[in-house]
Amino acid sequence: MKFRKLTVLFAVLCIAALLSAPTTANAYPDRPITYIIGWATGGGSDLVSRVLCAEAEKHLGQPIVIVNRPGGSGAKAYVEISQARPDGYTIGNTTGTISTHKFMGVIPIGHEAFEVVITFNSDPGALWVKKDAPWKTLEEFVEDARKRPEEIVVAASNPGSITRLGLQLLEVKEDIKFRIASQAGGESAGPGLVAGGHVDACQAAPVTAKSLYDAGEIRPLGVQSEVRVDAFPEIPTFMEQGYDVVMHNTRQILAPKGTPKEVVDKLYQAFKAATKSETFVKFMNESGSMILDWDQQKSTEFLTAQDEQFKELLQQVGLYKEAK
Amino acid sequence: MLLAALETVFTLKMIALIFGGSALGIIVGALPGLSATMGMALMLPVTFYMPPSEGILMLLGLYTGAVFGGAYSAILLNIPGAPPSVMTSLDGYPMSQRGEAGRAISLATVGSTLGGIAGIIALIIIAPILARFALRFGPAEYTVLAVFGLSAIVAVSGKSLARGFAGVSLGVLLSTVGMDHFTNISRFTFGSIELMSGINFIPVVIGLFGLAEVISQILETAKEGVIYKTIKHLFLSRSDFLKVLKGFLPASFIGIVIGVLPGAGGTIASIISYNQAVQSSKEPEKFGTGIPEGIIASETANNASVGGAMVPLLTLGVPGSSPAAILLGALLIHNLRPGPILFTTQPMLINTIFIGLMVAQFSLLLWGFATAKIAPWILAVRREVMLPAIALLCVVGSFALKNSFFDVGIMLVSGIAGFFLNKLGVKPGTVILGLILGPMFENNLRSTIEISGIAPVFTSPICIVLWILTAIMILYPICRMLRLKKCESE
Amino acid sequence: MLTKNPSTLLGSLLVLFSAGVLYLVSRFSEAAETFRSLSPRFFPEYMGYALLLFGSVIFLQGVRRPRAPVFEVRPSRKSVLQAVSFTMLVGALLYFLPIAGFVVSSCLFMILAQLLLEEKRVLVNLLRTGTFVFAMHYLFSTLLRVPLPRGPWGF
Repeated sequence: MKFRKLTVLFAVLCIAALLSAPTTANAYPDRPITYIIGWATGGGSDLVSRVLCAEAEKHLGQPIVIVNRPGGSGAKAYVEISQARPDGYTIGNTTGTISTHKFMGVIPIGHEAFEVVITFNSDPGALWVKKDAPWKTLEEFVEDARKRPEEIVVAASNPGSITRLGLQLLEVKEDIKFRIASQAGGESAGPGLVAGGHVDACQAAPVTAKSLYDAGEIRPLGVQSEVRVDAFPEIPTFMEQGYDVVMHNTRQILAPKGTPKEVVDKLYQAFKAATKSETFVKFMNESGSMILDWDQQKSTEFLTAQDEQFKELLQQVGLYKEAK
Repeated sequence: MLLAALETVFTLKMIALIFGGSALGIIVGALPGLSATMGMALMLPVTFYMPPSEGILMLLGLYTGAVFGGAYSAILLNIPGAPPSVMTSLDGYPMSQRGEAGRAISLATVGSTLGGIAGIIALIIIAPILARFALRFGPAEYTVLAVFGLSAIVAVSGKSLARGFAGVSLGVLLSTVGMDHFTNISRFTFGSIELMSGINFIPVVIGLFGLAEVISQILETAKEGVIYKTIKHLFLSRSDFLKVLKGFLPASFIGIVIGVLPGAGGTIASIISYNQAVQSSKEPEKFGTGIPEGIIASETANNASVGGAMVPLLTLGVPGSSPAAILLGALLIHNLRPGPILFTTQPMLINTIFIGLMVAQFSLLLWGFATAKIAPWILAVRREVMLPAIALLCVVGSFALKNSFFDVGIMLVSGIAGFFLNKLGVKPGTVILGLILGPMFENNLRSTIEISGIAPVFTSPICIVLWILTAIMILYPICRMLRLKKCESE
Repeated sequence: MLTKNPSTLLGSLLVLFSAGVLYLVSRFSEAAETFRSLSPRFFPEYMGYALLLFGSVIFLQGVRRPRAPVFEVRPSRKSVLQAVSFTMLVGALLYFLPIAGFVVSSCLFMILAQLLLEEKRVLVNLLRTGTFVFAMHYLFSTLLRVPLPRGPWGF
């Protein structure tokens, strides 16, 4: 008798659950949005995205659930986002690797497989040396490298990473060669290696190096942006010092191709508002990172140009692989 | 200044936040698959709108609780709930299988608290010195550190050294799966994009320790639920407490030193501490059967590493561990940049952090003893529901890590393989040792060679010290074995 | 002798496995050899050799001194079947998770697993399942905000 009642209750619950399955006519968003980060929890991209999403949630009215999917510097995440349903409930972020992976044969897709919602962040590359290093300016450093090829040890992440490409761009343009070393601890270990005297210099975004820079352990020779970075007005750019080297690592938010334009617009508005929020601005200023808010069109144009730049650079350093 | 900080911390709200944070942390730590980093990342948005001291203290409570919480599932279910507790299960689980789960939890509680306090004292007093020390660790030093950690093979192998070496080799081999990030070459990935990022060691741990044990228990017919002995004293028995006092100094020292190094945290600290405890004990063969010294060594070290990880974070702004990286983020959001500047511009906050951390350690005492009597009741649950529940927990835990079904698959395969390997005499601890330390060894060795060739590995002063320590760790037990054999033959 | 003696069994398995590993290592791409640092082949190769070496050592140990048999008490046929079915059930859970979502798959798993382990009381079974799955869902999905797989029915 009791068993029968339970069965009926169970059946009723099932039917109720089925009936409450979401229908398509509701306004977007009507349930939580999944945000995929292709990097590990606690890393640079992770923290920036978490702060941004926490603010964007308020403008969207639905929680954004963050999922970390580390693997291949974003490769796994890109593939997953591109294959998700284009209904606006699965989005994720990128770094510059969206333009390098397809040219290195890591994954077959690039930014064309997505709707780019917004570009929200940019970190230029920079060159750092120990506080008491013999080179006082970028020029001294470059000329020294010219005299002793393959001798100055520079830590620069791993092959194919944006960090390393920034350094290799300098090599290519000036026809010099450093002894480039990979770090075991990932991109953020570079400044530590310089401060400890294990390497001569490192290539790192100001964000990564800010702590040790503020502590006075290391100093920059130059930053690879077009104009001086707001958070570091005292660092001269490469261009000012006569070297035509510009390299940024930008972050975008992607949605699968085919996501309706209204959805993309709504997302853009929400995230744009988030970039203006006090919390985010404070965080980015304190980290030393640049905030942007480029919409889909500008972002797509930028990415197309970036593709070209990286393709050429990768060919020059010998990492280019023909797409299969 | 100190007085003002004390006033700030000892308000009802703050204490509640710290204790609440650590309770949440214990839950996060106890659930397999969830780690301190994840828990803190999830709580991060909550701290945005709190005054910085409140938010930071809550996160610190979480961190402390999570590192300790892993001991619960390690002791009760043989599944280390968080990576730093891997070594705890080696002695914690056998102890709980004997019916002394409450004792094990009490040991873990006191050990963790004392280790944590030691870590904080080190943080307060010698932080700048430790920070300098941390900077001197380059790839060469990490390489030899990894070798030193690997010398724990001898401690974890049990009876057969050959099997121990085989297990570690297997672990190192597994750690090489994936895209090699020095050269972008895929190793053992069979074209799968999932395998490209390598085999994450948490699902392997869950499978090897948890699922394998479940399968093993099914095979043992009609096993009664373990009868737990109620602990007579709420606190530790006198002899146990003496053992804690004896063991906590070396363990804390190791925990602090390793915690200070970015790139090495509670997990490696507990491995090295466990190894040290085995080698310096008069009865090394008892380790792994459920003795208090094993639990003490592991839990004290991993909580001491929390204080250690805070050293580079507060003095240089460089996080000493992943959870510390989240703390860095939390500080940045409030416009606070840790580093020497923070010490001079915000001494109040720094003192608040120190005191709050201390309070967090005492919260462990509260939660630990409160649950020491109750938690073992889990073991009395009947196996028909216990085993499926543990299996489900293993599945969900492996999934939750990276939202990946593939990880669950890895857990399943490790569980099956682990069961067979265990039955054939290869201890799971050895495989985990290889899996954790393999990448540290390989990547740092290759980095050293790229920077300067292999020379520093043998010439740098820190490396030489570590080599000597490694030699002691390996030769000492051999000498002892030979001496024993000599005694026997006389 | 081969199957009754755990050492020879383990030894031979390891030797075979290491052969497979060494074969795979030899197929690694050549492109890495240009880099200054240690080849990516180095470690896997030497670990392969290590497994070969230790596998042989263990095998020989087994031949010289037969160890205690693998199982202290030979497990009954029933428990072997139970163990295998249980493992397959976990595999099925993994398979159905992405399809049917967490709640449904876990409930089915718990119910069937308990039946497998001889829980004859149906009501108790269902109650335990309901409580446990609900607790897990609440803990992970609501409290910790870890998204659990959803089925086509939204939960």
